Amino acid sequence: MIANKMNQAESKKSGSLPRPPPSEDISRDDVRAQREAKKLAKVARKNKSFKGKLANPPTSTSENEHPVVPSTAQKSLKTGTTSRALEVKPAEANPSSPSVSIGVSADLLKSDSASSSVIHSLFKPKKGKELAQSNVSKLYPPFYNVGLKVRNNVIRGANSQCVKLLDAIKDYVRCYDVPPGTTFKHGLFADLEGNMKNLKTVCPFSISMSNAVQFLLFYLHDMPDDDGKVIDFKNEILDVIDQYIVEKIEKAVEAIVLYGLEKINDGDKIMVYSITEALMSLLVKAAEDGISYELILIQTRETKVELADLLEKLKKPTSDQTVRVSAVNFSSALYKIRSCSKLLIGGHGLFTNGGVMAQSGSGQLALVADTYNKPVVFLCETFKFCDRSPLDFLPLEEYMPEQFQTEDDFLEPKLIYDVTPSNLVTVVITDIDMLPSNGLAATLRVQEGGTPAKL
Amino acid sequence: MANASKESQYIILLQQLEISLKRGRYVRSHELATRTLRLAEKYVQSDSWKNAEEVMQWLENTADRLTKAAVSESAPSNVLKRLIKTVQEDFMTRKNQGRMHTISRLDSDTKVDYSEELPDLRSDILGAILDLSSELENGAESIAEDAEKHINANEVIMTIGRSRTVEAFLKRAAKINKLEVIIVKCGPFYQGKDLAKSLTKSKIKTTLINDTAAFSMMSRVDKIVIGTHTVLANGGLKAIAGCHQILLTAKYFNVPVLVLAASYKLSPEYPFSAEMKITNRFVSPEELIDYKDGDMIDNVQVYAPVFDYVPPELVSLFIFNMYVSTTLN
Repeated sequence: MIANKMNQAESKKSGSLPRPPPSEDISRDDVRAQREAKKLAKVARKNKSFKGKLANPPTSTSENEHPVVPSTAQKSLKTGTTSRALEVKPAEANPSSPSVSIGVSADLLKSDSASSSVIHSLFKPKKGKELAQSNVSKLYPPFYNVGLKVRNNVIRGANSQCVKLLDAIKDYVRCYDVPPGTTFKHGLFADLEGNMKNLKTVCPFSISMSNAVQFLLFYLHDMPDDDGKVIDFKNEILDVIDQYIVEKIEKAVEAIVLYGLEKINDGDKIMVYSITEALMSLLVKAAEDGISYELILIQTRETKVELADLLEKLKKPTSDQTVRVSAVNFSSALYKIRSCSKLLIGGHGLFTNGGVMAQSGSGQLALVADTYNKPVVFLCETFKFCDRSPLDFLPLEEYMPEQFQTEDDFLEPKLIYDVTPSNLVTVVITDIDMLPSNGLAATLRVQEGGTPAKL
Repeated sequence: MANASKESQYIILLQQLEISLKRGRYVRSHELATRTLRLAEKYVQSDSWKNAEEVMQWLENTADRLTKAAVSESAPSNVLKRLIKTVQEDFMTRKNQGRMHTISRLDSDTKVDYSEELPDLRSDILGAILDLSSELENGAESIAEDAEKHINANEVIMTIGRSRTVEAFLKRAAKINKLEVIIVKCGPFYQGKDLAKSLTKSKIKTTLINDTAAFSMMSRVDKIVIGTHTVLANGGLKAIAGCHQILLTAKYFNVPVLVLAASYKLSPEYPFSAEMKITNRFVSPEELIDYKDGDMIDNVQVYAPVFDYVPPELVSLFIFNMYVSTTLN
């Protein structure tokens, strides 16, 4: 009886291997041998049509029928294959690669011949938006400079990006020579617009940048036709740009700080993400005013806040004591959310449907804070208001830099922004007032002149 | 001589296991479970015990000892506690052989005297240990056997971090149906990339996203399939950090969540607190703060916990290697 049990145990051990039982292997070999000839002919035909396209060397898995599927799928599509760089490269049906049961794969083909990865196709680069060398040569060099810096994250923060871009535009205007056959206004307008279009292929425009450019172009458009000296025009434009920077950016930040100070009290524990200039100034001012609060910083691997200067700035001038700071990884934000009193997020843009655009991950944090009933506060200047209503990050694809695909064929998109739905946001602090997040439309009616850009 | 060596064998194994636990020299709880099982086997084979009571006492003591060595790892104690139960059952069956099979009831008044010496108990227990070890080995595959029932064609599945069980599950499902996988690479170890490479080798279309992007992508996901470190007694999970947030998002978007767990992950413990400071591991926060900022450390507290507690209401379905259940059970 005991021996029985031991045998049972052993057989269970060996028999609990996953299928298939050995007999199936042998028959598959036979079938494989029989079908070699047929396959060779078929593959030779396929190979001819795919001469230019490199393919992965076939993997050694023997029970995988997928190598056949993508190659024939591609053949059946025959659409513009240039932008198919992201498509899964077909494993060239090598004569020696054992692919089982062609019959099954054919059925799969018929069912989804036109399918590519749903998710991969979301991130396909749009045609015409790729960086083309010809575009770059037409670009005014300082613009290209700024573009590269923005793209490589040297200039971080929407406000500084905007300011740098406007500086470059000022430079452009100063050096602008009216081309023959057109007036100053029209010439400048057309050239500036063209430059900006080219710049958009170099780097993604943040909302602040787009809004600033749009404002300028509208202003140019509304300027009276020039019959005066070019110098006057140039000066006027330069003044307008300066005024924009001061009014919309610098003063706006100060106003936000004033409003925001009401929200930070002694003894508060504040969780902070997506640090923008406004948010940073608010924290610094609160520290300077002597409010003793505690800061919980959410860090992600991609966007490490410079802890050293943050701590420097947060030193209280009176007691030489810094604000207490903790740093937590994004994945463990939940660990700390219970002990926090509020969540502060720096916004990059505000939309008409109340959605707020901020650094990727803020939607998640807003949801977490909402679940634990903590108020979620967004800080956003008015010049970042945008006349769109995206429901998620995808319509913002201009703001996603191109993602690189690794050699291993999986897609690793770099999402830098995301949209938080308005029901998760408690209040948005702007330079005009503190608004609920769907207060954009009302604000626009009140504000004179500056219509937000429709991008 | 043989007896002495057998005894010292299991003592040595126990010491080694304890040391690895204390020093954190282990990678996966599966490895811990197998080592514990081997240790128990050696003990049972030796002559250090005479009756069932001594075995169970030893098992309990060892479970406590191993838990003290590494509080965050519950796999060893799970295995040992399971063994205690098995020993009890074996004892009862042995005892009731020859007589009528009396089903042991929870409310039975008779106190069972485990100190009775039964001659064949040793081989019984050894057989049970063999069963358990084969279950351990094939845990991932047996869970994967059900893969096609749960995943339909053309679905977009999201998974978090890297789990061997989930890997086998997805590969198995991919053989039948076309599917797509989004992997969230989670801190602090960011193992998602390895899983992505492995899955693309099996021709599954993979996308690797940051944990910050989970909210944005959630609306496009059909199901979430995750593995976990432990399943607690109340149905909650002790999973990799970041899981709770992502599952909260899933709840918000009403995406069903499947949790795959092998039997050695089931723990009879209840969570001490939702923040799990006691049974959590903290690792080096080198991702968050550079060494060059080292002198700032006095003013900054940096946390990098490894685990997260997930409450049971965020999970739709558990898939164990023996059966499938919801958290209501």
